[in-house]
Amino acid sequence: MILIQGVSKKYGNKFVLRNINLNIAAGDFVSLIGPSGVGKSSLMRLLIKEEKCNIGKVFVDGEDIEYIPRGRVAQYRRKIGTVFQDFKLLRNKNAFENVAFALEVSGRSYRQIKDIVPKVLALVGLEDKANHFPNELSGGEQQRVAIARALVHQPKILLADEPTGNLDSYTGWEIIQLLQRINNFGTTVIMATHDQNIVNAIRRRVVALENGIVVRDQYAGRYIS
Amino acid sequence: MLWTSLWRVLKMSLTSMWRNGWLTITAISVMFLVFLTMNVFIIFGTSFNSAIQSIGDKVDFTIFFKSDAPEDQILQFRDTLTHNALVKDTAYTSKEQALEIYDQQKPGTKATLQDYGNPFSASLDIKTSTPASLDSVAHSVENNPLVKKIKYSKQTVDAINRGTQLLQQVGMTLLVFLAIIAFLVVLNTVRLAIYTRRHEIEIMQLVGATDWFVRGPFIIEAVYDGAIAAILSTVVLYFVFAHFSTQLIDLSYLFKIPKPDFGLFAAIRSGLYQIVLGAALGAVSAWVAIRQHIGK
Repeated sequence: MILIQGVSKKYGNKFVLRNINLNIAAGDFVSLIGPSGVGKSSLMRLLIKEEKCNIGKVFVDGEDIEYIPRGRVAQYRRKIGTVFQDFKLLRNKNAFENVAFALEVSGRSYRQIKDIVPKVLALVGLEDKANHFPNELSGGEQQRVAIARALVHQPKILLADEPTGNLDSYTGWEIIQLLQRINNFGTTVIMATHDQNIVNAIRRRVVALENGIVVRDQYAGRYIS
Repeated sequence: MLWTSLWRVLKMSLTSMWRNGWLTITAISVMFLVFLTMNVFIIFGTSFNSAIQSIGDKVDFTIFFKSDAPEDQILQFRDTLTHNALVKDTAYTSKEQALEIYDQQKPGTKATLQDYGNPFSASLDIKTSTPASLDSVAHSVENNPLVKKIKYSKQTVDAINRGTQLLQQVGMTLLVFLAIIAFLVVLNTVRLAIYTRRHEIEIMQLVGATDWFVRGPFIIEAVYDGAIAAILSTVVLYFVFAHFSTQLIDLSYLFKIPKPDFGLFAAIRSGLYQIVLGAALGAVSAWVAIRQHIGK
């Protein structure tokens, strides 16, 4: 599903990623671990084409993303769901509208939107909060809205960058369970985190980064600091 | 799909305006004040400009003809001048008419003066199309054998020419400066409004919105803001002028300028211009402002 070959990325003269090689199969649940600043978020940004790598190649679903023209980037991003630590919800839209927006930009009809959005909100357990604005929702609920929005296109890949970073451990764990359920439906999940307890609890593939280098890649791995 | 997207962008802009209430009110208020200032300047400027032009219109010169100049030749000379593009108007006064005028001013003198053989000359009052052309017309006729003398004050004419030119240049410069300031103020207001919502742009791009879909609502919102500000400034100004009509007449009489006009017709015409200008200004400002945040 995702093939990263010899990727390096630098900002100015400083390399944040060095010669990264990863092969992520469809249906994998990968935890990218490591302390802040090791390059986890940079790798995520490369995958959604928010940044370009300096060296190497990134293939997503068989396509070299370097050659996706600017005009098709929006379309490419609809194939990948993204979830962030700070939720990145549109503050002036309610939960329903935030999720619907992702469908509106792809030109879906009102009928389709009315049909799909309540189902996705129900999937994340927010069917009764559809009319609530982000400031009327708890952190966990906001993250659920963000996950619903990420899922609305039924993406093959879901990227979650520190999805539990702003949540208490109980709510964080609920979010992880939700991500696991999504993964069970066949969606490839890549989660950047530095939460040791979560990584150790889920016992899935762990890719550890240190100073921009992959130092460990283990299936059913644990967080070793 | 295009119509669906267009409809969504239009609807999204209206919703966003409503939900970002304070930001919308601030942007419209700043634009409203800018339009109001521009309007007041233009209305009073136009009035002042016509006052300057009317000073110029009052400037003319008179050609006095030799007493032995035959009238038919004088009339031919007048006809030639009438066809001159620089000449706006002519008024001929024959020797007899001059005597009649004098007699009206000092009754009983006509008979005596006729006895001495009418001492008045035939004359021609010339009004030129611009004060600046007065000099060249006067020069072109001064050597004509029919002409005895030309009466006009060169110094006064030159002073008026220089004065009117200077005032018009100052007015134009001020207008250009005001227009630049207005543009910069509107641009910065829209920029600031978009800057405070820059995260929305980032989020829109992340969920797969095309550049057009990201830009659209912001541009349309700025167009609405500009158009609303234009309508408000026109309506407010119309009622202010209507309410202070008497005072404006007094003011115009005091300063000897035509009454600044902002009647219904002028308000509608000016309003339409401003709506187009306001909308365009809003759209350009939003386009420029959003370029800094898009495509990152």
